[in-house]
Amino acid sequence: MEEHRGLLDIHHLSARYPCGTAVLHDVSLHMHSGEIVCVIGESGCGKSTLLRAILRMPGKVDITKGQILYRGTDLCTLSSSRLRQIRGAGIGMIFQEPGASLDPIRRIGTQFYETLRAHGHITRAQAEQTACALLLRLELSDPQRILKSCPVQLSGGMNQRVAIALAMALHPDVLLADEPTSALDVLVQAQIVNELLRLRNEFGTGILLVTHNMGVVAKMADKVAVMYGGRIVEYGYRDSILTTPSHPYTKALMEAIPRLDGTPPRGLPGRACRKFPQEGCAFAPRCPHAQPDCLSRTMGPIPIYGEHWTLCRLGGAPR
Amino acid sequence: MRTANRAAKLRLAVLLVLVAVLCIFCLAAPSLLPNDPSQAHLLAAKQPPSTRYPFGTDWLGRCVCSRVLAGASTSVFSALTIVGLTLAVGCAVGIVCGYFGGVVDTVLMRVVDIFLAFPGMVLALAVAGMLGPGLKNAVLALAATGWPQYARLTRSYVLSLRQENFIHAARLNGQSPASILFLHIFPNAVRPVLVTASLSIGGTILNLAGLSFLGLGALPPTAEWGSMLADGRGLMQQAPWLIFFPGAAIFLTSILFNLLGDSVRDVLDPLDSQRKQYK
Repeated sequence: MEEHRGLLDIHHLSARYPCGTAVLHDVSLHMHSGEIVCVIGESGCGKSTLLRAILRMPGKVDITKGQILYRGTDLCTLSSSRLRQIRGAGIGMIFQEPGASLDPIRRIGTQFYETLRAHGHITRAQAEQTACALLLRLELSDPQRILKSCPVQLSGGMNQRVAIALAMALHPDVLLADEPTSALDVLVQAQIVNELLRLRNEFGTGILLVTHNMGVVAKMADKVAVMYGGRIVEYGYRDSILTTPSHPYTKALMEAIPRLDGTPPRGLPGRACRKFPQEGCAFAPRCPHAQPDCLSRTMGPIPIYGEHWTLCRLGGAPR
Repeated sequence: MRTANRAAKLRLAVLLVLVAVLCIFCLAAPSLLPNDPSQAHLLAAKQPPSTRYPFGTDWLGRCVCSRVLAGASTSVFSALTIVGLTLAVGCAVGIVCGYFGGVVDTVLMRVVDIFLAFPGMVLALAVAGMLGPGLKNAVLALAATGWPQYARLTRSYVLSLRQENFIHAARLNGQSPASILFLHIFPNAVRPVLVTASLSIGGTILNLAGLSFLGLGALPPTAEWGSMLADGRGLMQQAPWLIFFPGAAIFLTSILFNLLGDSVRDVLDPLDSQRKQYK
């Protein structure tokens, strides 16, 4: 039933925090080369945790069930030295505050060199060349000066772009990006979006992008995964999700987007879910269409069309 | 920020030059002595400062000026050795504890707790007393009691560094544990500790002088500022120059190293200077 030939295949992944709180339930996701999958959902629904789980970030998330296959290799059972080879060169990551992923006291140039050197022999001059080219593409003028500076001497937005360049420098097959454009002005945001698209077009990089920005989703995504309460509640091609959302939560998300035509955005009543239930629909307490048995029902994906599926049994119903 | 940084760097440069001058002076002192520091002239005992004896003479007629100069290298280099030793041992223990944690951490930190439970000087007295008097033993005693403080400090820095995003990022970029430890953890943790160390050089000179003052440091006839102070104490009213000149030497040297410590902090601590920038 499931294909194993993708670039990144996540099968029925469940994970919890070291303190014991379960966060991810039965998350499945498949990504091919050159595909961009956007993960959307409100704060605290497990998006960032999903990215951390994929890279097996130590001390942050414990995987309790499921598989994460990178080109067919299960990352969950890999030794730390093999995992190290994949991290960075195979799967790269851009953090939520990318600026904080730079060592505050070491020069940017040195950090580029060390990162590149960790995955192959390279001279300082080569590293500098690669870095300069990347920084120029990200609209950073005077890359020579940047390479000689420490992060403290650069602005937040510059650091963010530097960190993104650092993650791109190794040309990973898979790039995990956790809201990479959150703190940048729109022009730079557009530049980064274009750069990510170029990376995909030139190198066939698969990008798993966590974002709150629906504009970015509309521009970049091939597929969209909507998360709520630690589960993917709806998954499918961008167009079918954006135009015909079927899960009540996705519909609510779409209605909450501010519009230029004057219709006021509609918020969703109730608070974001704090407990991530094992059984039943996490969204039911806030759902306008909830039925009494929604809270206890065992959930499984209900196909709608092609790869588009939803967890909600009302999903297929017309609006 | 640039200009502020430059001013701090200039200050550090000036102080470093002064310290270098002091060290060269200490090394050159033996050839600068006006008289033999351990040659007694009972006929010339307790003479006030004069052209023959610029700082006067002590109760045995030894030239105080020569003794202060000869004592400079003993005091300064011993203090630097002590700080170097405590820094090396403390940092190593702190980084191992902070980075690897577990049983090693628990055991070493309990040892540190035991050391820190005693007032430092009392413990140094006990260790020096056990080892017997002598300059080398005094240095060992002060080093043995000084490292736990650095271990604690380094460990706490390493613990907070381990949670930093850039450490995760380095790991997720595929860097090996060794390179993370040496390229990211060590330089970041050692900077604030280095600042503490440079600030404590002055205090260490005083501690060493204190041990010598109590008779556990340099043995006579070795000239050392603390022991000169101790010996001259009884003659304070008849011959105040006996304690004035070694005291002034300790004072000036400690001040110089304290200023150096301040200046090192201004330049090395990027977060601190960043905070200043926003004020």
